[in-house]
Amino acid sequence: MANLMPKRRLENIGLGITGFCVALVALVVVTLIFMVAQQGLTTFFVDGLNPIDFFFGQNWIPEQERYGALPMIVGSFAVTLLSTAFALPVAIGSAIFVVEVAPSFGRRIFQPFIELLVGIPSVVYGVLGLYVINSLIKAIFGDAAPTGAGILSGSLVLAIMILPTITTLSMDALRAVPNQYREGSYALGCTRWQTTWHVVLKSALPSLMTAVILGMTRAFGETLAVQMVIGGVERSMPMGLLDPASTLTAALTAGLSNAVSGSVYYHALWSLGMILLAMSLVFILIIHLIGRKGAKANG
Amino acid sequence: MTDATTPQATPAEGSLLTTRDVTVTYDLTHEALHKTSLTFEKGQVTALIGPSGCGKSTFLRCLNLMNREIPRCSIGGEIFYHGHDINTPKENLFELRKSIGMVFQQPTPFRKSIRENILFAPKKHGRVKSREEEDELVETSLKQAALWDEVKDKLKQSAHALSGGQQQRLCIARTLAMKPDVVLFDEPCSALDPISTFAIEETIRDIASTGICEIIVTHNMEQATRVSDRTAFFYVGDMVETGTTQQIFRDPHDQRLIDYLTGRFG
Amino acid sequence: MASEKNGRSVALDAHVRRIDSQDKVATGVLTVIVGLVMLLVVAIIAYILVRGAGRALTPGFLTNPYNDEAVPGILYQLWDSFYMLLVTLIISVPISLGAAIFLVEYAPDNWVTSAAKTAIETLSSLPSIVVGMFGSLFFVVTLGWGISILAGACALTMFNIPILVRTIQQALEDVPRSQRDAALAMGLTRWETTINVLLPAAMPAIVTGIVLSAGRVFGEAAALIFTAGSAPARLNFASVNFLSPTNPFNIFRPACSLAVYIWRLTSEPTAGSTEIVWGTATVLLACVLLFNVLARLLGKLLSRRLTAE
Repeated sequence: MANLMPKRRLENIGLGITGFCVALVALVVVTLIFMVAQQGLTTFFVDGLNPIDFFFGQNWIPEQERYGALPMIVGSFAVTLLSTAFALPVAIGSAIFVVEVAPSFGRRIFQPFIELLVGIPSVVYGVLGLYVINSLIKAIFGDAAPTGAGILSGSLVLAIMILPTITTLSMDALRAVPNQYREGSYALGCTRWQTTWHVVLKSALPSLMTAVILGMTRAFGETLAVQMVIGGVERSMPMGLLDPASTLTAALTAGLSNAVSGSVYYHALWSLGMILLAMSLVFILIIHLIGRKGAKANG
Repeated sequence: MTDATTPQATPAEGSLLTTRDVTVTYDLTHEALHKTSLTFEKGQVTALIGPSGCGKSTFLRCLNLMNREIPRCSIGGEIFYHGHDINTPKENLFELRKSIGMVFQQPTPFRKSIRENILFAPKKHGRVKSREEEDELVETSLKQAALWDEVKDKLKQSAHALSGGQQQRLCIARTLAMKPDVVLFDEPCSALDPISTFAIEETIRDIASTGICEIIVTHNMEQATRVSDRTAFFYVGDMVETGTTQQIFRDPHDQRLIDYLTGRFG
Repeated sequence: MASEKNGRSVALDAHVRRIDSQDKVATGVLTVIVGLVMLLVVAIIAYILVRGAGRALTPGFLTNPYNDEAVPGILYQLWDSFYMLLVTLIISVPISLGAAIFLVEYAPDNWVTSAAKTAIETLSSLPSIVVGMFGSLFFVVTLGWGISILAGACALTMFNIPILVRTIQQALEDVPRSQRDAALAMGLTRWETTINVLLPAAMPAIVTGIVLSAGRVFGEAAALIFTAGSAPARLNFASVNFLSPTNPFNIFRPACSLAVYIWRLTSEPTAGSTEIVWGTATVLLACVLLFNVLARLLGKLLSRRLTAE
């Protein structure tokens, strides 16, 4: 350091540079929210679509100017809930095993293993779903699932994708439970299972809930893997788990390349994006609420 | 602060560091230190003693304004250093900390070589110009901290390879390399074995003889009697009694100090 | 131990037996679950690698353009993937570093900071198609970059920043507080402390984090379809005109990554495309796994060098 700057100026420069980076990120996020809202609301305020028809309409047929988003909304929630239901017991079960029963196995072998699943790109899951899971569903259900595409196969693919998210976060949650709690319980003569069930899981509950919500966030927003396996049918409501259906993300992916910028269809797609954005904000809000409640419960 | 003393009050003439009614508040409500006034002189070692949580470390961290680094921590009162109040928003923390050094509880060598640990701050402050100056600074600082003989052949090695006691003495050497006139010690020996502790106490006495003012927080009363000239006793955020170390330990006045010295608590 | 005592009631013995067997059953069930999960991971990865290996190892698959008559390859897509990753990292690493340093070191304790944290959190939970959609309007149209590598890299940056900020923040926070205090107590600025003390100590974790995030970026497709395009680019590696749409280095030309190529082939299948899809998927997965291994190796190597120094 040949030429020395006065320390205060150096500090202000540091503050300026790093503050700029944060401000830039914040600005981009604000721009994104603003643009999505602006484009998405155009549908209702400029193009004159009735919001009730949009949110509760059961048919999405752009050629006939019918924009009912309910099939996609139902599809998104169905795959999210179903995949969480599939992944949850497995994720929590494995987390309990590797934290409570075999910690060193968990750290050295299981964790790197499950992290491999996180690394697999979502298109690769999509390929796997398209060529393997859909064929399996077709083989199992026969004529009830002519293509194999549908909510069930979408949920299965998603379940595999969110499994590592929920598992690793649950592992962190269980590891964060202080060891004294366990020792206290063992000292009272409780078995490992009793300790886990009554003491560890109970005190880790808020963090476990956060893990599940984060898994659901991922499932709700997952795009290509679902789009490739679910069948992409937005015209009408899905009648069953084996019916080809669609989700908000899938409809966006499929529609955005066909929609002419500025058209009603284009704006309606942005309205779908607005629903996605709103839902991810809701998920964040839930996580914050859980966090605050957990902090209060722990004093 | 509403209860600060009137501004025309001036510190005792000639004293290096004087605090007047220093009060520290965390989170706006929790008062960790209440109206503490103390004076520190050149070449003098002052020990701050008291049970844990009594505010002695909090007080120490006011003297170089380290408490400013803690969010929602406010320091009230006046701290006179060389005759002017440093507890103002305008005070240049960086200049101040060049001349008031600090040694922490845990040894904190950086992930650099022994040599670079010593030269790091002087270089950043533009204190050393040439290779010769660097060599000389490294040697004198290490000698002052009584570490030179042990490390002179491995100055290029990582400081993390040293033993705990050596690391702590390196931290003292690093602080001395800044040529401070005040050095603050925050329980410097609590993580060390008895032999290293003895070496560090020796070093502290040696440094004092060069005219540096030293203030040491310790929970070890024997250590206070061994190294300090003056002692101040803290209890639940108050500075209860201060005097020469002899007086504090032989002839304590305050009942709380007597209880503490006789082992009723702490 | 309960059954040895004579005075114990039969009911207590039964209870102890019951909770013991409950414990054993639970452990057994958990073991089976974990076994199945590991089996699933192995099966998925092995299936993809084996299914596409034949095509991926065919001579020419990695080195031919997509429109080759004999062996259609993925050379352009490979190039585009790596090039777009590079551009993304060049944009996202400095911004994430700055943002993380701000949040760890400077962030004042007020609403501005918490708003910034919420913004980053929002970014991390956004579906990637929403990012892609935003990019297709903001970067492509509003900023006028067109469907281009730059627009794609910016979309990927939005996707990458929250991941990077979090890992760097964590890495910086993991450096012992005492290191920071020691440097500040010597009259150094937070800036000098961060650059000279904290960053070197946190470097292994930061590098690991960057390489891991690179793996995620490499496989991302949804954010790219409408920003960088999905039509395979025609590249001319001999081109020296940096504004030409066939120049591989031109950041204003459309590009198609491996992941997007897979998506395109499955949504518009042609004769023989299934084999290409599996081959590409194998290559993509292999790259991502390599990033994973590389991240761990680099992290270990760096931390060993740091401690040995």
